[in-house]
Amino acid sequence: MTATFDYVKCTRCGTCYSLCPLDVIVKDEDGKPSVRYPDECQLCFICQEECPAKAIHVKIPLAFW
Amino acid sequence: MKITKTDLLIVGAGAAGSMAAIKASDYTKDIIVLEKATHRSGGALGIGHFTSEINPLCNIPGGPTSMEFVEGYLSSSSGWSGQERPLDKYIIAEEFTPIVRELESWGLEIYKAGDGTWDNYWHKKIGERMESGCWVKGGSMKKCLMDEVERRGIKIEERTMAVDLLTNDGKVIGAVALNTRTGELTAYHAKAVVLCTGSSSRSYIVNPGKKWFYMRDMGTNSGDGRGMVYRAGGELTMMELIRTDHMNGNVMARFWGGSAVNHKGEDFLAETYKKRWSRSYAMHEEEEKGNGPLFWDSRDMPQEGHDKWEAYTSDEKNFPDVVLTETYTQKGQDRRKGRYEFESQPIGFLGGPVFNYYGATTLPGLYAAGDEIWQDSLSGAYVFARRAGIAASKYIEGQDEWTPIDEKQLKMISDTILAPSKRENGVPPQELEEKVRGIMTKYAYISKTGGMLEQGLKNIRRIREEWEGRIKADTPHDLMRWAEVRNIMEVAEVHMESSLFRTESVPYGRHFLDRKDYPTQHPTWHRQRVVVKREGGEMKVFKRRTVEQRPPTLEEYEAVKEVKP
Repeated sequence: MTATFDYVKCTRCGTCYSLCPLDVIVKDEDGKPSVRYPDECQLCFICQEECPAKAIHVKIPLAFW
Repeated sequence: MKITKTDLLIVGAGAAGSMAAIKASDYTKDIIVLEKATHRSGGALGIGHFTSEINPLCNIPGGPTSMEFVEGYLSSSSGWSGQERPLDKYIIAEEFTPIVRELESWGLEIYKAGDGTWDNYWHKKIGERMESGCWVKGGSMKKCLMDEVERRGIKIEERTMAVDLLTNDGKVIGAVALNTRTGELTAYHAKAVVLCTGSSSRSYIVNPGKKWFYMRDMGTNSGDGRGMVYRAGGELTMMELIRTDHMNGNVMARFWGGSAVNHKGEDFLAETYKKRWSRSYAMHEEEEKGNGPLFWDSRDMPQEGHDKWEAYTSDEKNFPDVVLTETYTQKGQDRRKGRYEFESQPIGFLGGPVFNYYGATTLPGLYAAGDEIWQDSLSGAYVFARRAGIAASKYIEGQDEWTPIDEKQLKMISDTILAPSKRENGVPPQELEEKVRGIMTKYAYISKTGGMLEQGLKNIRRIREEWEGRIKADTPHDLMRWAEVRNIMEVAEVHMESSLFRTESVPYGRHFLDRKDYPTQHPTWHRQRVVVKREGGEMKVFKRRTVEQRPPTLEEYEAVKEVKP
């Protein structure tokens, strides 16, 4: 998994969903975000960097590099 | 289909698209910019690439003059392929520094020396090349463009991907675009279009077996502009010249010290500039010789270098590849104790639409800038985006009447793009993309032969025939991936046909061609470009002689100084 969410910290503000350049994040009717297309994540870190609640952690896969 | 009219349509809101829009807005207020992602996150600047340093800065204290820069360029590896135009480089040398001053006035934060002038971090000769540049705060690069676009009231349509150009009687009169969140199509009827969609990096499966959406350049770069220009009958050139990168160390070894070594610990790059080969090609050769893996070794780097590196990467995500810093942190690597392995991977092609000194392509009404064309640098993107924005605006002034939209073309585009959402069953577009990029990786990777290319073309054409009519899109997101894979397939075919046509190897420049069956340069190919275009539904490939490789005269620059439509 690339981006993982801390749903206790997450305020459902939608920043990650709005920003993701590869459009890999979706949100449900309550605004709860999750990754739908993990293979299409470029690991650009914009969601982690821009999350106002610091609720996202992008994990680089171990097999990577 | 909804039709929206606008004088000027700009496709892509990265560095080039934003700059083209800003410059065009001095002439026309009726502008729409389409962006597949969002303005904040779109383009190379959005995800932090190329934000750390800017160059060349000519005609400033400590920097070279424009002529010195071009002379240096011509005598270095980059100028040796005889492919590019020396006057382009002169234009960049003359016009980039004033643009940097403007960017600074819009909010770009530039590191300053003690006396308040730009801190010229890089003033040295690389080979014979003379360059200078300064450090900027990466976080302020896209932000200053966004602020200026907003101040000027320019309209940006986010999550909107242009899928095909609208043409009538050979003229480009707009584009059809897909809203990637709703799946709706809109036709943008325009008097001129500027394409700024970036390069075509998403052509291979990089780091095989690992991640297939991770790459050195922006992941949204599926070659959308190149695909659209090809389908509209415009000329593409230099699509055979590949660019590779070795991910880490490329920038580091240059600015802070350390060296690139092979597995024996030898600093093999020492000879590179004597041979006037590009660094990328030299590294590729070293791996081919069996001397890989290659590493960046900074264990003996002076403390000053380490300090700079730390200050730099911790300040507003300045490092061009944010992910690298994270990788080292997450893996617990320490550059003082261990070496970093280079991973060679293709990151795109040099070429793109044929364009003139004002960014005009071979199709009337169509302009291009940024990585879309073969400038391949942030300086080139800004300078030619400025030119394309102004040239397109001046072109519009001469277009009093609206050329009507061809309804048949509109229906054809709509049918093609939306077909996958109407099918009951089928193959997801992502699987087709993986297949096509797999063929590129097997048959048209960094080293090539005629046989491989012929086989690759055969395979790709068979896959297109069998799969294109079977794609199934479940969501608007899938429709976007379908629209993208069409372009990835066009780029793949154009790259393979161009590489097959060029019967020589080109070891010079940052972009090269390694044909194992034609291992040397051949005189008949000197200063020859490969040009590709679609004619009567067929791909035509031919040669065209390029301009003389000599420094331009002042008169030649004066003749193109003022931007013309």
